[in-house]
Amino acid sequence: MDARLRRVNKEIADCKNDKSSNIKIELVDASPFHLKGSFPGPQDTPYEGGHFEVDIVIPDSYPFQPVKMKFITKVYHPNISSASGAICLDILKDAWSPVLTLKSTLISLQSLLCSPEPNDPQDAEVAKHYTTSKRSFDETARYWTQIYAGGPAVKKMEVKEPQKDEIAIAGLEKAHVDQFEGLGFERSKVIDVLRRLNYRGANVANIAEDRIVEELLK
Amino acid sequence: MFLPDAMSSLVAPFENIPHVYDLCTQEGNGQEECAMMQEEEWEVLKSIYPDVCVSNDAGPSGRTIKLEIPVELSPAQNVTIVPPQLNTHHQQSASHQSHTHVACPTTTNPLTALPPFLLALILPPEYPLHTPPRITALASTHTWFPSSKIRDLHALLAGMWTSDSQGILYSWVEFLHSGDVLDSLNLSSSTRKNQSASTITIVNQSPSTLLPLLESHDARAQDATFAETSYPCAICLSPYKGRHCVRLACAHVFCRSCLSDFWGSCIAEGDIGRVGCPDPACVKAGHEAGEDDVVRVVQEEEVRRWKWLRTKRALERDPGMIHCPVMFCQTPVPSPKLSEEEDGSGWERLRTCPTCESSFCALCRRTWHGPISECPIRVTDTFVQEYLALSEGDVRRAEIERRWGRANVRRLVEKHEDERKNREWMEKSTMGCPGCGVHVQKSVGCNHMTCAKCKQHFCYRCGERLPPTEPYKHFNTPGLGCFSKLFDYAPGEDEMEWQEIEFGDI
Repeated sequence: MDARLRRVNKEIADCKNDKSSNIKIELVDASPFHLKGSFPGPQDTPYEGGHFEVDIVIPDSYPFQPVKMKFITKVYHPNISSASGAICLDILKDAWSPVLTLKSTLISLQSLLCSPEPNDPQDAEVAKHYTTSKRSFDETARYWTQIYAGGPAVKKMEVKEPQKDEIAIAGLEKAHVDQFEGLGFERSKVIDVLRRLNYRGANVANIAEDRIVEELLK
Repeated sequence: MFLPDAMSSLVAPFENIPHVYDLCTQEGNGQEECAMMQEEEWEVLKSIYPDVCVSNDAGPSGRTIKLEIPVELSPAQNVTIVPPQLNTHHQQSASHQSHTHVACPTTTNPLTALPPFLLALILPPEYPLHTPPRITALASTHTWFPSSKIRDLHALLAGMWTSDSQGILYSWVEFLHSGDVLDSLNLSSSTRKNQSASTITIVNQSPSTLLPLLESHDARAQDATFAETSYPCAICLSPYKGRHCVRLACAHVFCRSCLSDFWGSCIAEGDIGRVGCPDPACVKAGHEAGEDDVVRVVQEEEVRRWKWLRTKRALERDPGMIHCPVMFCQTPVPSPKLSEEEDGSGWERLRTCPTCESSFCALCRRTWHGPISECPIRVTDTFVQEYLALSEGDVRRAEIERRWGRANVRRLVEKHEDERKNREWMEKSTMGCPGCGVHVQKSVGCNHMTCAKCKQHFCYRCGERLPPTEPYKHFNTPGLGCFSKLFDYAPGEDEMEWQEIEFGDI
């Protein structure tokens, strides 16, 4: 049995035995080198109550090269790509050390949810939202937690819409979307443009309506 | 000051012996019981101090026991070795303290162990009920323990025996092993247990001989302790005995095989910046391993490559460095240090390889052609370009071929084409680091690059240097060319994924 397999088996067993950390690692298929990790969203954050799953691929030269991790659950966070789940975290790149384990890395991801680093973004749009209006960002992140990570319902949006609210997913105001939809543009296109231009919070005042129409006509 | 007391206690038990013998003969047999007790005491001692017990032989006058008792110092202490003439003065001075220390040049590093006492003794048949053991020899290895104090030590040991004791051997071993003996004989300058900065002072004929002996013994003792202690290796997550482990300069311990694999793979990949302690704190601090550690951990061949990579890295920090153009050599040749009048004279192009001693021109990388003649490569280049500009079957082409040899021309054209393609590819698919010029190809991730070689931060899109403190400003400031271009998605890629999920889930 090679050293990598021995270590991974040990790590999986260690995680199983540790009930206190709330970190779970499970097999995806027959290979011990493709795993799925999961942990609860940290308390007092918009991710609270959610259950976050992470895809783990263990490279051949593990533990000398970093483990490859990305979020399976969609997360609204400046350091996590909202599209692909890719993660921007130093220990997954040049600050990796063979002393780090799957568990300690997953714990680092959990604490990344507690302390976003918008100056080192993986998702520039989300980072912009975060820096423009923290409150609006939190609302969107909470909504994503609810619909993608099984988090508790967000009070403001209630459950009156059983299907997912595209506007809330994009972190936009319904009134703004309605305004441009009223001009005859397709709803999904309006959402897309407003999202890209970061038409949120105080930033709304900085973006001329002409500019939006221009983008919509492209 | 303690001598008279000690003398009396030395004499007392031995005076008692005939009396005890009388007792024994009166009682007739306690001997069987004594023999059992001796047997038991030896077994207990052996289980507590297995390394101390050397031999136990039955003889006509009783059991002969040999013990080898190392002295442990905890915490570590310095030992000052004083030559005898200084010490005479020292003993005579009533104050007993340290102005003589200043005159003494030899003090060891802090030691955790002193060489063992060698203690030989006979257990008379009546021991332990009626008679004390008889010490036949008491000395210290390397005779570090001052001979003038041996008598006092005899006395102290004898004084510890009482006729009702169950056995004295354990107390003696403990007394010597723990270093309490040094306090009792006032060899330690302060109460050892309370003060970490205390010093042991011993008298010896030849301090300069004894000092290295004490220090090497201590080193061996520490190695032995390390070898026997178990350490959990943080890489393979298994515990290993110290002899299978390496303690690095930063005091972190890893199993030898993991560390060797890790450093070996880093060296193989040329990533020598990671050859260091794998502890996250050390990694964050960017500590690299020193040569001592590397030599201990990896194979000779890898050490050689590691050294070569290190030299290479140092040379590559020099922007004027050029690799020797000789195919089998490729040694990095640093740029020469020039005096002012040499600059611009043409001589600044001369490089001489330190390995193969070939002299070449820094511009064209061909054999040195003197400071005045133009580089011949330009000539070849223009000639090949001329040749290629002519259409196939042109008479002038045939002329050139006749003149230079068809094969030669083909070879030059091939080389020219390769170089052109290389250059084109480099321009199209890579970005040069603005710090060191090395070309980087991005496989995945954002456009903020950090050069693996010179640590320069730069933008992969435009090649601009970025401030390491706020590299993302370049991408976040509206109006700049790379605004919101941190990621280059292939057109539509991002949107596609967005919509797919949106619609797929509803």
